[in-house]
Amino acid sequence: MDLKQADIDHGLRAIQQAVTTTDLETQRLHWMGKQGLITQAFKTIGRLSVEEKPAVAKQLNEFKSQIIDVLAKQKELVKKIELQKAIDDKIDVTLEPRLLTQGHHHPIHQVIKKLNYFFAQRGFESRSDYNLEIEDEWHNFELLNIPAHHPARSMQDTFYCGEKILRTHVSAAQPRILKNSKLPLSAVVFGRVFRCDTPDATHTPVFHQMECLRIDRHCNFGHLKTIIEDFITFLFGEKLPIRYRASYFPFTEPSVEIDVWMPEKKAWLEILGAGMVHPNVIKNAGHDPSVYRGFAFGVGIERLAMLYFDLDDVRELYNSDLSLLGDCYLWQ
Amino acid sequence: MAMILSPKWLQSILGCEFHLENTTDKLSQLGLETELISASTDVLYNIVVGKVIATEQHPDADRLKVCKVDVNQPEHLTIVCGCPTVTEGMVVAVAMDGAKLPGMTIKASKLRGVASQGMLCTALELGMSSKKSSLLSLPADTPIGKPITEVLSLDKQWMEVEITPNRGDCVSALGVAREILIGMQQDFNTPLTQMPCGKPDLLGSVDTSCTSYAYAQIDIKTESNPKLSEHIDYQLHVAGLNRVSPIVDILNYIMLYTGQPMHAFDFSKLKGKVCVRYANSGESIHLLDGQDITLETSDLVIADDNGPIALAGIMGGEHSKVTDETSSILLESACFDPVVIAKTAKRLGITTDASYRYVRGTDPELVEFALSEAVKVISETYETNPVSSGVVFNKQEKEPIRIGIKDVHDYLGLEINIGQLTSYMRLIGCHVMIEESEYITVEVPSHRNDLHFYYDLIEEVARLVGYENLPKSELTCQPLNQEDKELARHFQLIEVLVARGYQELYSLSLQSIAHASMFADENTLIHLDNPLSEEYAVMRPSILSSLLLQIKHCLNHFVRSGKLVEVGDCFEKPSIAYKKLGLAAFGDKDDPEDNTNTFMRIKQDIHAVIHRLKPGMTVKYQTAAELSDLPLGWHPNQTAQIVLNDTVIGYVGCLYPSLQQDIAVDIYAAEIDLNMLDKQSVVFVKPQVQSKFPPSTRDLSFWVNSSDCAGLIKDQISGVSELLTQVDMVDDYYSEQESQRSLTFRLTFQSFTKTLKDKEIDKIIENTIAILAKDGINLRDH
Repeated sequence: MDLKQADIDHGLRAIQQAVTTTDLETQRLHWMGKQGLITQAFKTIGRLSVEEKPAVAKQLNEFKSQIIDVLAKQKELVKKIELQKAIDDKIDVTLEPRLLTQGHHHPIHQVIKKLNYFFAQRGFESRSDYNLEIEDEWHNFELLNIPAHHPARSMQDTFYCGEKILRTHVSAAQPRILKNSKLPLSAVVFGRVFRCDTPDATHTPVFHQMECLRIDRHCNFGHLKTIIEDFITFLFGEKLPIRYRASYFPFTEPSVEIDVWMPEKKAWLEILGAGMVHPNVIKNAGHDPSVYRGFAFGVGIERLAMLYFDLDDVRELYNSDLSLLGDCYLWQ
Repeated sequence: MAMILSPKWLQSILGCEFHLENTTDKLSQLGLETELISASTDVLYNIVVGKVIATEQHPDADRLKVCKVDVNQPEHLTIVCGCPTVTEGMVVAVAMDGAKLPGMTIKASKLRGVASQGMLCTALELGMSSKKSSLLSLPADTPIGKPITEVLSLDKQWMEVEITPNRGDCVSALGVAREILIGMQQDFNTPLTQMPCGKPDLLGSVDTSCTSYAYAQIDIKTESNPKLSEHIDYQLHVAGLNRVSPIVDILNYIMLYTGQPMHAFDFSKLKGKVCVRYANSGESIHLLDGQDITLETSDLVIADDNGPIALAGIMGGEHSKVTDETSSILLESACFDPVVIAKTAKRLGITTDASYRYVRGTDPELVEFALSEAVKVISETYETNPVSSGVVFNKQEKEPIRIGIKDVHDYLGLEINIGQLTSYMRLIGCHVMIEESEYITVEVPSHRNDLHFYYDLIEEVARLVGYENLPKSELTCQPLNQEDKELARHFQLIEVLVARGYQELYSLSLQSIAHASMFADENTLIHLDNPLSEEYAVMRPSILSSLLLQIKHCLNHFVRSGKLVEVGDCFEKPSIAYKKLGLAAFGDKDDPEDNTNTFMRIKQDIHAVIHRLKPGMTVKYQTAAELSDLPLGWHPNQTAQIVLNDTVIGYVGCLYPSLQQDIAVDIYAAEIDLNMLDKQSVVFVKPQVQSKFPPSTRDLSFWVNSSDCAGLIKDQISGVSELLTQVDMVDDYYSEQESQRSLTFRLTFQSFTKTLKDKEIDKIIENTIAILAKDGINLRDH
């Protein structure tokens, strides 16, 4: 076949009219593909005489380089055109999406996580290993220095189930942990507790507590004050006035209750109960109270959750009010 | 129990005034949590002292009188009064036009045609009493026209005092007054005068469980028409004590005042000497409240020759109770062993004002004082004859306590000197017996039965010093070397599921039997012996049971889709506690855009959870071999067991149809036993790089039988060759024509070492077809 410069010029113009990658590829194949005109033309060289060959070959190489050159240039151009097209492609970005169901951590979970963080930072290990919701009176009362006929038993109305009871406080884990741990010890326990309280805005028969316990050779009320005051500052994010009130828990002595001043509500709010672990509790767990002393305190998780999220009714925490629960953020 | 007291009364007991707010705060800091509440007399407004000048019969009403009342204004008021006791010359409280009284406002108005310019008041109307009575009659020399609030010393506020169970000595006005003085750093020096008691001639044997027993026998004139003083009436009203009869009311007042419970017997009904003893078996008593009690030998009773006449410290008997006809009474003022009273009170389920105090411990040395006070009030109220009285003490000597300044330092980190320690001990009424350079030995006062050991006294030092004044000590902590696996697991699980759109919930662990027994056999449920109500009668057997309640709550509040998760303990016999994770997704059956409610979606969520906790492990789903392998509550034909390492760790599927009958949404749920999941050990898998060689895919369709499971067929195909890197089911259709189910699987082949040739792939496919054919699963050729 004979390729003339005119054919090539015509071809080059066609290439220069290709404005998409697809068109350009068609042009490339037309000239340079297996069946392409240039490729085919080269195949005819073999049939030529020795004298003709150099000139024809030179001519073909010339054509080939022209085509390749223009193809390459056009490729750059097409790329630019297509890029600009992509850039110019516009969509309306303003519409809100149809929201997928959003998941959330429950407020109680969030508070536990926050508290756990504080105590872990200070070397208090969270212990779930003796965290029994169904307990016996021995651990819930006797070992905690609350004998059978002590009026303090009726401080916490207990649910009974046969030989067992539903624990009335997380402190019930104290004797088990103490008995099964080497001293000194710094621990926190989070868990569910149960009391015969008819549900109302401030009570549910099931609720959560955190217990903090430390036993050491040298441990006094001053250590308790240090951690509690740090803790309260951590809880509220600022140093608020604190009031200590003498109180009574059979398993601590001295015992105190601690109120925090709520500047917005202009009122004292009872936050936690605390004290030095009663010598009988240490003795009951098989340790020597003349060597070891300790402190313990407990805090209600729901109360903190209500405070953080400004809830009016504790029962809201136990209902699947997805809208309310979805609005409670502490950690995000 | 909170006790409500009048501050004016406390001030008169102490013989001094105190600042109400400061005292309230101080008491709270000392351990008696005190609040000021508004007194019922607080609202009184525009009520003045008036004198009845004249009375005449109302023209149209027999029971009404029209009174002219002088209130020191230019003109006398005309007031219509319904009280028969109103007489000329009487000085009374007059509520004028616009006056405010508890629960009412007075307006001038016409009563049966006669204009009345106000109201003459009774103590009840003034909020000073809880008993209906006649007009409050004021002394004749009361200045006319003065506001009543200036004339009567009325409380604006009352003190509500919460007493902790260790402070039995504070369940009285006297006890609270003593603490107020301690708060002022003053010794209690009001002498408790008492009449001398004689020999206990009327007493027989007194068991040692009765630490002291004092009595007084008084003859009273029944026709003396007793009227309680306004003071006693008011104190009973403030404390919220019911009015019973003059004698009982007086004894209740004495109890409020001193903390000493008392009882009065009709002396004429008693036979022989009174003794304190344990009940004999077979004895019984008919109590004041009408109950018949069969006594046990652990019950302490007061008895005469005929048997028990009172349940000691708890309640008197009906037979010897004081009535209007009683002309001779025997007063009892005694102290009993708290534990003995507590046991009987608990067994019988009776709590009275007396038992409440006895269980907390009363002061054995107070019995005579209380008795004297009671006799004094009774003789002021009734015409009485001279009294005979007697007392017996079974005193137990209290061990003295030795306490040192080192003990105080060890517990409180506080440095004090021995002089300070001594003065603190004296302040709370201790008698200092021995003084050493760094120790003192003290005897605690008889009313403080909560103080036995040196650490009890350290607490006293702490509250006297004030906890806010104790020094702080540096706390040194070792860093943690391990984490709480269970808590961490909870956080991880929820993290994964929250990211997948789940709302975490916390449910009450208590449910009704009707609900819980849909998820577990009623006999395996943990029943409470004393449930609050039917709604909270058993412990939940599963998280699924909680989630169903929560879904119903959502639907009742017009929320028709959602994904819920909860982690918690579930309870079922015999192992009792199971830690479980439960998921539930619910949504409208025909909401095309909401596909939260598909079975496969919840399986994806299970995979995500398991991958987080047990990475790299293969999760399998199987149908239960026997129906009994499924827990109650699950759909028998739409539930899979979740299998890990050949162990069933949970279930996924639909609820049993009857549970869902009233629910118009689709629910898919899953529950995993976390203890079972924990036990599965993860096998370490060496990380593998990607293959450099291209994969190729082929689709195969088979006819399957109704009993065949897609999951198992998929597993079979996957096992044919190592070159099969993925098998997906891409179509599941039922041919009506053939009456047969057909499944299409997409097989992906890939090698790590070469590009696979068609021939190699063909061979694996032939193998696959042959293996399935053995189970009667044949290739669909069209």
